[in-house]
Amino acid sequence: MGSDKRGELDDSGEVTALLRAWSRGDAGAPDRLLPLVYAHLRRLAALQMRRERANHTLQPTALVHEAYLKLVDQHLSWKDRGHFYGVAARAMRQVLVDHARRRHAVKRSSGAQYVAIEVADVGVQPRTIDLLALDRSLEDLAALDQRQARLVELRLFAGLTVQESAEVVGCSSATASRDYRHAEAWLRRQMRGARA
Amino acid sequence: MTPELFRRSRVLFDEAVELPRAERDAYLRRACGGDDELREEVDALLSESDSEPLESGIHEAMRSLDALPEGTRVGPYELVAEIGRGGMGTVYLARRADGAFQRDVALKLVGTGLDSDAFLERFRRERQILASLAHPNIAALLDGGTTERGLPYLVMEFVDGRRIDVYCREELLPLRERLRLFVAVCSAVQHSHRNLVIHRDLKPSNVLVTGDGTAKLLDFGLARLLGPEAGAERTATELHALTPAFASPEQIRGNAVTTATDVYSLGALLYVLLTDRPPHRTPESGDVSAILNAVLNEEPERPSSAASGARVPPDLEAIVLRALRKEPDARYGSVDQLARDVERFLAGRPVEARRGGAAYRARKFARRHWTGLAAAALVVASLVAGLLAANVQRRKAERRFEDVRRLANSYLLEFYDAIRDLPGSTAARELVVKRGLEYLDRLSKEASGDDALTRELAEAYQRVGDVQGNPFQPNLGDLRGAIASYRKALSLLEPLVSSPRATDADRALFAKASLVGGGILATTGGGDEALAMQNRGVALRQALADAAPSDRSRRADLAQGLGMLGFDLLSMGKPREALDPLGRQEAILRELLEEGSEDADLRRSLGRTLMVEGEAHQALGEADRARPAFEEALTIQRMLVKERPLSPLLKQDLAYTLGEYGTWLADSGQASAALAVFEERLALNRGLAAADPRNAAATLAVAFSLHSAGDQLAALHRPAEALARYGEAARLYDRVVSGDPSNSWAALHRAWLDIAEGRARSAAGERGRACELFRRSAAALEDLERKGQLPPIKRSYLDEARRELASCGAAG
Repeated sequence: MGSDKRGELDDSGEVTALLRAWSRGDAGAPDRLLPLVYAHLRRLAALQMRRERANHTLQPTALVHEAYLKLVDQHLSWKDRGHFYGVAARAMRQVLVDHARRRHAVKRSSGAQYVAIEVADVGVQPRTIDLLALDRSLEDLAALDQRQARLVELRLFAGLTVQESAEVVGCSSATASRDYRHAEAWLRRQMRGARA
Repeated sequence: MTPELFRRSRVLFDEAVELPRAERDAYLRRACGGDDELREEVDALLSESDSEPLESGIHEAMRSLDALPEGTRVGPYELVAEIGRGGMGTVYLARRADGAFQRDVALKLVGTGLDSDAFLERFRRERQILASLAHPNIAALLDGGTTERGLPYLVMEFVDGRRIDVYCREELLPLRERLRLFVAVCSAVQHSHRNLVIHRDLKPSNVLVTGDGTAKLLDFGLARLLGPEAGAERTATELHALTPAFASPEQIRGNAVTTATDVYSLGALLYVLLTDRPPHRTPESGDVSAILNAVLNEEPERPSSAASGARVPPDLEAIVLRALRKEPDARYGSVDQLARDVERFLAGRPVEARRGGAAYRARKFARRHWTGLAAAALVVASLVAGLLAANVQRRKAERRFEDVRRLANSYLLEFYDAIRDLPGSTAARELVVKRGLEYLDRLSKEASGDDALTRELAEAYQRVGDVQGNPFQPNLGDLRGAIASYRKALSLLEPLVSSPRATDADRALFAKASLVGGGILATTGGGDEALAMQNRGVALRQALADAAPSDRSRRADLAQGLGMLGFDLLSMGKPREALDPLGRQEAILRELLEEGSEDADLRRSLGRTLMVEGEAHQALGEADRARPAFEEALTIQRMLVKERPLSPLLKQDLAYTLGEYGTWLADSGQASAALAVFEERLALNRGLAAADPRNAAATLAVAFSLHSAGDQLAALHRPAEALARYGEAARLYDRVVSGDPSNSWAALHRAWLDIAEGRARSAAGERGRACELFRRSAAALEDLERKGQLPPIKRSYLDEARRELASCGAAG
């Protein structure tokens, strides 16, 4: 446990420094931040699993928040925090998409049809969504409306509320809420189209 | 999509979504002004706005992140890939990491939150029961344990197959073949019911069909394992784990789950196989409460109108609807009855599902009175008495007569099973058998000319015979009664089998009765007649196998029959004659194994065959032949134990062979080889006894093993170690005797052990202590002799004790 903690703290100085550099106008900072946060989130998810807690369901909110507490100096400015959540949401999205891609590959190659415990059964719609389709649709959305795409990313993958994501993006909550409502409907429609 | 369309549809969407539904159309008609593309886009967006939020989908996706990475070790297994997940945990393809064998297994890691002490205790208990469910259509539970961090896992046979409904659809399976698959599934479920295990979660995704067309049930009893203890509140986990379209009304209500629950789910499965859709459809929205409501309150659409392609015959429709009745009592009384009805349809006979409800009413009566297992004896008495009375009144009413007959067949067995494990239930079981026989005897008098009744009576007699004294299952020990019942079964079948009306099923039934009946007769000394019966059974099975060379199960049956004949010949002291059927059995088993799929049952049979062959060669003094047979038997049995460490039967097989082989090694003067074999047997028997601490026979097996190992240590001049083994054995014998003073077998071996210990002490120079032991042994054996508990074959113990004692007298 002790060594784990030290490992995480090692990153934290670097993350904070990069966030500050970003605020100072260092254009390369986001690109260097992403892999750091990505690696951290993956480690957190695995750690979470190994803790095997009873109230186990992982939530993006909890994970990203935990990453925030561990990675970032708590005296950061409001703007730096916004940057952090932006990066964290992108990293979280990447973690999930990569994972989905790997599972896809395994299922194809093993040829096994052992899906016995999938809750989704004849006639009952699966609750899990196709993350790969969501990822592609989100790319399409970003090409049409950058702000909507960012709001969705912050909300879905960093678990921010409408209010919080509005602050990060820099718009009013009312706008964010309308944006999100439309974006969600649009994405679902896009994903349905991709499946058909 | 053009940015223009995106922008314009967005504006209209924002407006329209705020409006009451009723006003949207008018607004959009105006706003779009004939732009169909725009209108279509806005409508599509609006129709999405009520669906489940994307967020919940992300939460589900997050759950998949907690998967263990490939290569992780779980117990002795290494995870290869994740292959499925759901409410109760995650399934991985896995392999033994210690290289013990190279077989793929499915490892199910049970979800978190299920690691309380109470759960783990139940997990261990239930796992043992599930591991003993050996059936060709059930994916076996092979192993199980807890991870380093205490999370329980199960290891199951890995089934590489397709879901049964997908298989039927993709292979364009004709109706009759679908029904045969279904009957195989039923036989697996029936088998588990006889072992008092209810599946609770039968659905297409739990039934896979392998490449060679074998149906395999997965997750047997897992729902029970993972569900709450009887009477406990239902947990969210359990509700989550239910698949609404296949769950029975009583499960949704949270009422008692019985075998009728599985009957319902099998009905739903049959519905799918006939119509390619489940009995209750979920609305597009995936609203679960709607389907729950439908299962509780709505009749399923008739299969004949639900089926898209093929026609569903009315008889089959009646069968499905009977199984799917909301009231458990209104369904088939057992899975067996459901399967038989499907078989009746296949054979072109009238099905029970379309008959009246006399049996239903009688069942209801029985269930109302079936308030608890403790009262079962009373229920049996009243039910059977009631049936007898009813039968007298109804003698001429043919239709009701059939209902009664059906009750006799299934109830006899169900009641017996229900009370089997109750302490002190022997009297009740004897009553079941007695009344059952009286009833069958009366029916037999009226059976002549009615082939169907004859068949069922013959089968019922066999079942009663098994309960009375089939040595291969728990029984009442009434061998004479068992033989009489088997004779009745055979004499009922005899005229049918020799008539041109005989079916293959009749011949198979006759063959089975001949073999089992002959086997029981052989144990009571009915030598020649027993052999004649068994030879006839083998000949019949040979003919059945020859008639359908591609039918593997017929050849497996033939092999089994040959094995029974060989075993009985050997136990009658005819090792030379035994080797012929045993050799034929061995050849068939090897052929079957070479041809095809991995089959643990066949390997187990081969192991036993080789072991019996080893014994036969040993009896003939053919050491060069005995050794390889024993050794191959051991290789097979050790492998099976390693693969299925939970199965007590496989361990017992191995322990038995080790005992035979060790004794032979010891007799031929190879003490150190014998010691190694006995030590292995000791470890196995210790494991078996630890799993079943109240089982006196298991404790005695440990004591015997200690005793044999001690003898070899003594022969190798290692007296201190020998005495340690003897001492432990003595304590175990004493424990068994003090728990049950009437156990003369334990007392006898205790006395024999005293002689062995005395000799070892004598060799170590402790003459005084040795003579004390000889004296005590002789006294105990004389006491047994006085009570008539010293079997003639063990007389030699007393002679030896006296001889040793005499030398004491001379010396002292």
